[in-house]
Amino acid sequence: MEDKIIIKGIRDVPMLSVSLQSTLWNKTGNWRYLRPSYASLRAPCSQACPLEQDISFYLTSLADGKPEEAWLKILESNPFPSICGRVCHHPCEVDCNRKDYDRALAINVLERFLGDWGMKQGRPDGGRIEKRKEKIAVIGSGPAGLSCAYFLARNGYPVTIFEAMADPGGMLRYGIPQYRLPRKILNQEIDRILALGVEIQTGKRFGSDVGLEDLRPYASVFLATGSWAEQKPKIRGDDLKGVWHGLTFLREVNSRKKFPLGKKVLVVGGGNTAIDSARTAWRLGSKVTVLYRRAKEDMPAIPEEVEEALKEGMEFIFNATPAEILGKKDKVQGVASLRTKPGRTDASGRKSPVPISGTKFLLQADSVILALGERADLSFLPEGMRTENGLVAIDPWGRTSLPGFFAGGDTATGQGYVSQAIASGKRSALAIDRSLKGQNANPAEDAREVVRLDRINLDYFPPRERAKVSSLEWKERTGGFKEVHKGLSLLPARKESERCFSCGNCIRCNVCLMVCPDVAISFREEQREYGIDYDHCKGCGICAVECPRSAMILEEEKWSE
Amino acid sequence: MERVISGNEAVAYGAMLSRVQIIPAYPISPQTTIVEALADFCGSGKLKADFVRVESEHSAMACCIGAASAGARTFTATSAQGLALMHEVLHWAAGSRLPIVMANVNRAMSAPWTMWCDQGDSLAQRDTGWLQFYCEDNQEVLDSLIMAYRVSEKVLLPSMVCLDGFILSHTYEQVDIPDIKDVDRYLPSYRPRFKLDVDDPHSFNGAFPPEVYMEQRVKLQEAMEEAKREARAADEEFGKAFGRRYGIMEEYSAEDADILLVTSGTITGTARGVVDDYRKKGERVGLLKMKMFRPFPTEEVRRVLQRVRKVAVIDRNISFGATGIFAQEVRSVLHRHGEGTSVFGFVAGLGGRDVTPGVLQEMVEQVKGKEAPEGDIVWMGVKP
Repeated sequence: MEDKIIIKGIRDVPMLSVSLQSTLWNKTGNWRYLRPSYASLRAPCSQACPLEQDISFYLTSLADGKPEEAWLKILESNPFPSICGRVCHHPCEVDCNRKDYDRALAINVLERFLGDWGMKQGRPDGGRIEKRKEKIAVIGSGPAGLSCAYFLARNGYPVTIFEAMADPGGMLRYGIPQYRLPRKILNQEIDRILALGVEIQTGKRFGSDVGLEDLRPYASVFLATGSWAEQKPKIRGDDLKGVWHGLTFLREVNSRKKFPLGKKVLVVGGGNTAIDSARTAWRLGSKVTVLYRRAKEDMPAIPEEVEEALKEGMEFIFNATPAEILGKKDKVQGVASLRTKPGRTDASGRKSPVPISGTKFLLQADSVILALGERADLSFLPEGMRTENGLVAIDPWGRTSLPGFFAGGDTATGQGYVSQAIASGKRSALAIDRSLKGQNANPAEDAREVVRLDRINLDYFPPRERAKVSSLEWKERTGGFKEVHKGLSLLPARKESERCFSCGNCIRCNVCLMVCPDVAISFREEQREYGIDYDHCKGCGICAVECPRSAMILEEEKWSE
Repeated sequence: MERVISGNEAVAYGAMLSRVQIIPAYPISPQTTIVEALADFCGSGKLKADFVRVESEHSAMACCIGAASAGARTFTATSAQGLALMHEVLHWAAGSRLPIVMANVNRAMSAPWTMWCDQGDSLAQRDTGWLQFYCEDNQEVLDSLIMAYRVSEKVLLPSMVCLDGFILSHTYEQVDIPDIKDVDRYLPSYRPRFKLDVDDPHSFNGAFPPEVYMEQRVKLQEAMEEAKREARAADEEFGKAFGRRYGIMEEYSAEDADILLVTSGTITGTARGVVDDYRKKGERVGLLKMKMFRPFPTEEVRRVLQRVRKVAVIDRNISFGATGIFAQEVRSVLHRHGEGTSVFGFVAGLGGRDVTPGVLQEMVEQVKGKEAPEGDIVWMGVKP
């Protein structure tokens, strides 16, 4: 400011008005009454995911051509990307903001891609973990138990899993058919968990082979024995030869080579077990009819699975219920059924079906598979463990009424989806870790604001077609258990991940930097993030308003002086 | 490469060959196909430029100013009300001494609603500090655009290249599209003398108090004078490089003319034919084509007109309350220098009305029969 401009004649007048010095001394930031800042808000997909995965982060990594970074990010919150990428009911896609714009991101198949991609790379380096002395026992090696063991092992705990069956996996192995989840995939993901040093003892059933005494050396116990007790309402004729219960049937199919069901199979039920049973029976060469007592839209099964069953040629009879299984010489011959109509609303909020008398009709069948629901088997629970509605009673972090005992999965949550079971194991692992470190307060829940479609700046996102996933032709599906859906290869996966809005999360797209009229935003290489020069930011707000994904907020400036 | 293209395509080729870097543009008839062609060039990768979509012509010019201030070669195009909407920022562009080049497709001003040709739009901007060039055919459109960058970047003033709406913009003619390597030699990349630089921040266009503002205006006027010299030099160099010359104005059969037509834009082409017909009959009718309107080539025009007895200026425009604008300029040039010259100020072809050879002949006949005009404006073809 000391330099005075002296103009003696016209030669001293410049052709245009330009300051001789830098004008940075002029701290225009004090004009500001609105203050922009970067905020990591929550994407609806992350909120919907039972595992609260940072989906936009890993999709951004994939879009940037860094699949390894993406895969490692998933492994921080989900031990089973390849499995979830196949069997998850993907609520993330249901809530994806893009669904109200063009179509939801194909998150599920991208997760599958990253899981499979990672599996080909081998196992990630676990890094150096502080080893813990406290031993943890996990009862049951289904998705909940394996998940709990995984997160505890990643935190340095020695974990032992007790599994009743001959092989680990629980419902993943014995409930879900191979055409949905190939065993190779299952084994590889389980092996990655065991490679963390998790010990597993198979063929050890809690309550008979393993007792409370055996659990004494363990600082905490996580109980996740699943829901293997099948609902068996009395139907006349259900003791005939050729009558199966869904879960038993699925389990047996996995351990036998030949399985004579006969030409015609009738499956009763509308849940995932019913659909899995029907499609399995169809693959064994039978003609399959599914009988469900309510309407199609009431089916609890994953809708895509029902659609696949329809594609494969399964016949569905809705609003009908079996009255009696008919047989000759102890062998099933058919089912006498009744039409139903919706009755009173039951606890699930759906109308309870009521059979209509005089509507009896006969269906021929060589085998009948009853898949009428499952529940937890609580017969072996330790004495004094409180139950509620046929489930182990737990708080939101899996604590049971017995100190040191945690529970999760179908035994305790009754939620039924794989991702929910994995989430319950993960939450309990966190709670166990904290309790062993003497931190008894609940871990903080993510309370960040969720970014909805109205806060996405759609000008930055031209409509783009969702990735197409191909499936096996009808012919290829018959007579075998080949995986039905194919995955994506790297290029289409990357292209699909580029569709992600990355709601509420900065992906360093430079829009803020480019629109700032005061050049007050810069990218700080070391922190890999933007910084705002508040000395010169006038608070015009263009950056925050223009941000394509609402990763910035604008608040009233509170000048301290 | 010879191709048959429209005037608007000639504009787009001219911009592409000039390797413009930033194109902020807003569509308006009859300019729209320029924007479309440039967007295609950018989209296909033929032209490595940023095409910026804007919400108005005012923003388009403001964006040009920002980009040019940062040192980019900048282009836009508009017409009529779009140009009028830019008016405020046209002053900023010139006052900031930015060599922006803009094509203006001449279209009459509304109301009443119209979209046909006259020069009312660009001539209304004559005092903004922009150079103005008027073109006769599509080849001249393409060539003028390239030359405009050369002149503008020398003198640091913006240029407007004008072409008649529809008559050129949507009419296809054979045009020689120069090789880009030759254009690169003729028009090297732009090296700004001043530019916005985040690493060396300066404030631009801050206040000039009364003690210095006037001096800065003098400098702008001096730059206009310099532009005449630079335009002549650019034309000469262009002729050497590409074999075509236009001059800043052109005399056609003018040397011994008793009656001289003064034209601009496409009327010039029509007038050439009319002049030829009179010459065949042995009558000494000639033509002065005005290419450069700003800066006005005062001395050159005076030199030509002083020796002619009767001048017929044909204006496709009208300054309401005064006369046709070229006529004003011509009269002002002759003032105190051309007492023996009569200036007939014809106003014709407003709002797209055709100016045919017949109309021009009628003017010549009128001029032949009179020593001096009866008024300052002679309206042509107005219904009785």
